[in-house]
Amino acid sequence: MSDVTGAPPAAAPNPVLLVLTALAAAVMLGLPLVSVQPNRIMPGEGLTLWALGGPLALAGVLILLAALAWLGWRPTRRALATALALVGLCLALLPWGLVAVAAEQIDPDMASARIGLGAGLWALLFVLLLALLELLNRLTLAPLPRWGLTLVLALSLFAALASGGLDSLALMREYHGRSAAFHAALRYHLLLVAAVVGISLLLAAALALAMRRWAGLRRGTFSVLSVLQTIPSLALFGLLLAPLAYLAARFTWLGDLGIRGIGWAPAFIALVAYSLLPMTRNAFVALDEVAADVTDAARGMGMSPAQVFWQVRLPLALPVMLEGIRITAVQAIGLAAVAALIGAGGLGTFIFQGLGQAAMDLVLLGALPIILIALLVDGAFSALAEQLRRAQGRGDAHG
Amino acid sequence: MAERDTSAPTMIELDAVTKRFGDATAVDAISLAIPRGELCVLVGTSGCGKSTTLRMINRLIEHTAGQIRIDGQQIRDFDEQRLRRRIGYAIQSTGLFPHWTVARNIGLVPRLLRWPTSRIAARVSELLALLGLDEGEFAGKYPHQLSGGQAQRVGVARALAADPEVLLMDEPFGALDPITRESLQDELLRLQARLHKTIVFVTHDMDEALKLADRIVVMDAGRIVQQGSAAELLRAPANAFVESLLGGRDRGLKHAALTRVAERMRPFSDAQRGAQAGETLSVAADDSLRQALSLMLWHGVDSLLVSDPDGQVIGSLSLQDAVIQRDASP
Repeated sequence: MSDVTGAPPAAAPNPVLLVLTALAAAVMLGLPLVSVQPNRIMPGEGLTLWALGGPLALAGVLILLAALAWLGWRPTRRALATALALVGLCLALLPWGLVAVAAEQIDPDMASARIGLGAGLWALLFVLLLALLELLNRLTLAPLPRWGLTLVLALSLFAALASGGLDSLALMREYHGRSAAFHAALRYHLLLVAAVVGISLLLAAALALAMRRWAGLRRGTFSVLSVLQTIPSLALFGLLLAPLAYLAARFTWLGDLGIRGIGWAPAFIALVAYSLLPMTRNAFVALDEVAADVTDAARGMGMSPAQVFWQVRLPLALPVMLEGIRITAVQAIGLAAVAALIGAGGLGTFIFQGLGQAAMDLVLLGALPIILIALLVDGAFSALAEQLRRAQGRGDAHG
Repeated sequence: MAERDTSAPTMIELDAVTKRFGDATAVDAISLAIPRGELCVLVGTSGCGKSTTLRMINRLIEHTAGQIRIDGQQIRDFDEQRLRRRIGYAIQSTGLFPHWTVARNIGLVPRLLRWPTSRIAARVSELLALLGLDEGEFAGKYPHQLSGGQAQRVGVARALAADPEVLLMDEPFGALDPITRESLQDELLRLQARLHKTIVFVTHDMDEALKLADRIVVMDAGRIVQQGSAAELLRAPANAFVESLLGGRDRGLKHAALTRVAERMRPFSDAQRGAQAGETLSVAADDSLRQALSLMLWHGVDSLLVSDPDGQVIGSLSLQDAVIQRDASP
């Protein structure tokens, strides 16, 4: 990592940036950015940039893209930083562009008229995000400016949402129709994931410690966990249905707690089962691969077994264990959506309702927050692990 | 090399100590008494039981039979953690904690002993200075930022932190390059001349043993084959195994490396001193006979001048003086 110290002055053109700008130009020329629908059922009419803003808007956008391409052609560090600022500005202004389009296209008297996000807009968002990632990678920014940039983008989006200018967006119409249900589902989804991650962390820690103590347990435990991992999620829900229904019928107090064949209980059990393999594997490997000479020295210096564990083994294992928590959390956030099928609630409810009603914007209302949460959790845990490594003064592993 | 003081009380005593791992006997009823202040080197090929013997002394390995006493007390009478905090421990790979700074690593045992923070800080500065590490530069560094030699210095400082009377060193310089190893060996001898610890040092390198040891204990297949000073071993190796460890036909040169020029030279009278002015080829009185022989071979001469540390010529050494030991003068 340390051997790449910024691009030299006469750097070769950055092909990623050039391809992405070309793609963005094609999208802006050809694809509809938004569609205007009179109501929820009627198909909308797609509008391209040309239709929305005429030659002036198109020319402005193309000049901006040409500037980006120029910066990508001579990618000095300063050029890349400028490109990053431009891309960030585009992303931050995107919601406000939508606000302007909504104000112009939607007649405020038509309560059910709405703006749908078109293929062009999604493609543009995708291209801009890719460009952002590429630039962030090239510039290898410290965590602080990276998070600062993310914060600015998030704030711009929330400000646009809060302004009410986006209320005629189809997605927002769906949200306003069921905002209470949405917030309840969001809370429930997060609660379920947090509980799953917490419980499986405890179980995985116990399993990892037991496997370290009794080597004979290793093969069996990992085989069972791997098999669990391979059962498709819907099949696992189905498998749990009968025994849980039986238990609930047999012991009514279990039913009173909400433990039934459907609902949160089978979802919770299945999600924990899926989480155990990555969590246990990482916890075990992390604890086990702490260098033997370090623990030998720790014991030889007169540390008690508890001191060796808490002061040496666990801190050294923590970054790898965090990685396990990250994988598990991201996986659980996605799987919890499927659990909506067996009445477990959460954001998945909107996805399946939307699929049933062929209302794609309702699907998005469920899917977008799931993607956002997954990305946020992923980024937060990665940053935490990196921070921990820095605090422990370990750029690289010590031989 | 310090003369062995046979009157010093025994610090570490092994009495018919045996270690079995299952059916295999790693250490077979060895007995050894190490006086206080002695640097005792256990030497042998890998698997001879030398490391096991070392690790039994701080109970990282529990002995199967026999008795081990430190300062007259059985080690099994101590709480094992308390025993280890009284014994310094340094190993080949240093075993420094990668997530702790140099200062925190060195302060480990004092912290386990609950010293007040200010005393720990003072002790860490003292040790960094003792090991020739600049405090401002090194105290805040992490182990992966150190060179091998620096890391091993920190390892030795950590072992010395609580000022233990006994120091166990398991091939501490084994992973270092020859030049760094040699300078750390010199450093250890310098430290030992000041601190007079009782040190048990394990190595497979006979040259290291010859250089460092007050007493060498040669081990083979879990038993002690021979013990004695470097000179005693060179003069009369107990068997072919010890002889092969000593380098067989190189033995003469190894012995010469242990003899100081001052022991063989012919001192000059004051009149002779003046007459020798202008000659340049000289050897220091503190140099080894081996270095003197090397100089003669290289320059094709059969005698050298001998100078004292101030550069004053104080005598001469001929090839014959170097090769044939004269009878002690009356």
